Amino acid sequence: MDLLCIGLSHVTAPVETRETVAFAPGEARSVLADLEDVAPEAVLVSTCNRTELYARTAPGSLSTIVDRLDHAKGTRVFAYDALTYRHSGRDAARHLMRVACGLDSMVLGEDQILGQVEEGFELACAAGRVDAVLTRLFGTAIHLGGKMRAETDIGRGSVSVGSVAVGLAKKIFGSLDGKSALVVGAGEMGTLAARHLADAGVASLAVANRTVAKAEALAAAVSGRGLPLCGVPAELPGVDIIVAAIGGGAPLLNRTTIRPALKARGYRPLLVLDISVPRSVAPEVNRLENVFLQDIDALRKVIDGNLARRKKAARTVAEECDAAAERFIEWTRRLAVDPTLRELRDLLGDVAERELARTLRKLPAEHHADVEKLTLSLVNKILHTPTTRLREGAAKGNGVVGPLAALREVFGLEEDHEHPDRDTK
Amino acid sequence: MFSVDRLRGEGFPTRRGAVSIESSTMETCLQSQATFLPMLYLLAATAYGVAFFHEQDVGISRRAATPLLGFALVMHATYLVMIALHTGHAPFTSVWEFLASLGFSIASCYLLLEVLTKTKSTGVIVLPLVTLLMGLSSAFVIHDAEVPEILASPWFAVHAGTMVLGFAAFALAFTFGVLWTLLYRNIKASRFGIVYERLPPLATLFKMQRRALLIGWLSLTASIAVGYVWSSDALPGFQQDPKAIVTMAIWAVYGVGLGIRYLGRRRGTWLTYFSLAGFLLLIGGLLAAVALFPSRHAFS
Repeated sequence: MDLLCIGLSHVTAPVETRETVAFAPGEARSVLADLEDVAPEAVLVSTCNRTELYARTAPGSLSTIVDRLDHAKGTRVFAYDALTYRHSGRDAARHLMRVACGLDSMVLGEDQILGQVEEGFELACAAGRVDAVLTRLFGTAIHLGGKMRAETDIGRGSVSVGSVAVGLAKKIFGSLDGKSALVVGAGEMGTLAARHLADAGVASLAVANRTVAKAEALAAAVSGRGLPLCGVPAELPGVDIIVAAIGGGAPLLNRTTIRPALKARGYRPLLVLDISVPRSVAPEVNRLENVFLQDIDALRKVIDGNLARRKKAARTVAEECDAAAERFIEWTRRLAVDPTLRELRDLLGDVAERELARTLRKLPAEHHADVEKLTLSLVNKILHTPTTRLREGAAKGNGVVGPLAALREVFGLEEDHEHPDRDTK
Repeated sequence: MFSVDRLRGEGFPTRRGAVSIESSTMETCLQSQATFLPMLYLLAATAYGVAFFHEQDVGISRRAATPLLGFALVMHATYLVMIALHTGHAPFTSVWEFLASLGFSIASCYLLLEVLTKTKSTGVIVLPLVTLLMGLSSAFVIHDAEVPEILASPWFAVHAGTMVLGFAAFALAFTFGVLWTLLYRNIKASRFGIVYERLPPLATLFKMQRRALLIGWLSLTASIAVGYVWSSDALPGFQQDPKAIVTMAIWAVYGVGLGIRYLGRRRGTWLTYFSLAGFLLLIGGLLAAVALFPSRHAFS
């Protein structure tokens, strides 16, 4: 059985292709069931940026799997080499490790993917489509993903404007509990900022826009209040965070508009994030006491710094992924010799038990324990060297098929179940 | 701090250790405690340092820092009690005893604020200072020096003890004020380096500073009150003493700062400026008073 990974991601396919092959949970369950005859174990990881199938398959079943995946989505995407990638064995394991650690993500080190890998694995578990190999593979990958995020810089620091804004606010206020925010502008940037602030837990959120209807629509989506642009000055004494994401014309806020509000608010800190281009907050606002003005370049600087740290950490994480994949492959190779070793141990155990029973009948009871101990020790010592050598050989990939076949032949392991009373004579 | 040199020369009766515990055994215990404590603080400071500089460190140093400091404080408290038992007076009668008590007060206040705000990252600044104070004290302290009998008074223990606690809290407020200013300026200038990354949020530093100031000001108030009541009998004419006047000025500066914050409800940079100015006045004023004016109330 081979380990196989087939899939596509933002690296190989555009969004319009990725969205045609994204599997909803119900579809994923269905396709996993459909693959049961060609893949004893299978896990499907499907997100907006990637769709990947990890499977333990019989050699030569790749084309069948590709056909069934395409059939499930009514496309020919998986059959199209230029849009997909296929990995097997160690490469497949390494790919999953890298995916779980965020090395293969659109935003390096992002942590959503780890949860999505976990969801894919849990879905396959619930569908009864995983066994020892994929459990081990996904368990290792999920553990490694968490460990790398905790111990390296791979997931540290914000790398989007919205999360940097929230990070800055937390650096000033400590917590966003009880804080109120005002987002000026209901365009793309304003919407992203409003969503981040709402997710971060600000107590109240207001959205102001030239078109009040747009402000109200966005406000409704984030459980806030919508207001016209002319309502901004009246809001200033009560807000702690202002995100200006509205371009054009003269500055919306300047010293004259903010200074009276500062006095009214008892000089509590005020964070002003101006992410509009051209800027809509006059730079001299930053000179006011306890007012922190940051423009898009400042936020970009934070993002670049954090990305640089993540890139530096990526080298270490990649090495860890390689090592984890290598350990997994060694484990699977050892797994290949285990059934034979188990059968051999059972065989010798049976022989020892029968001979022991025969001998003990002739011996006084006080010697039974010693003889039992001796027999067990003999069996273990006889098995020790072949067990160790076969496992080591398998782990190193030294080709143990021949020795295993010889072992089975010499001890007649194939005949074990067919001739249960072989040793009774 | 208090010095007994002047009092010794002015006819105050003196005394040695008042408790009849086996003296040489106690002396040995005190000496080993004095050697052990700076090392313990150094260990705690190292743990705080490792936790501060290694962002990924989620292991032993981060977990060990606070318990190590707690253990050092228990040992330190034992050491101060042993000094009091051995000498029969509170451990504030020499520069070196004063440093040991100041170190203890700073570390205790810091631990209290750390627990209240759940913030460890300022320990890297505070603990080396405590280690230095304790190291100096241990190197030079003499436990059986003669002291004037007046300093064995319980009033002296309360007066000097609250004063030391006040100074310790003001030193902490100054430290947090400097860190707050550093972070404030870094954010204003959009500098997002190690200061931005590792220091606690501005609001937390401000809260730590405010609480330290409050502890310091209340302690100083208590110390001044006890000092005035006690000195009317023990040290007549004390009110005109330059050191007492400087102390009152320090008390007033901090009081105005806290008044503006709490009564005027004014936030912002004001309190930090008062905190920084108050501490500079404390150091400069007391040093000037000691150097320039003769005093029977012998701070040095």
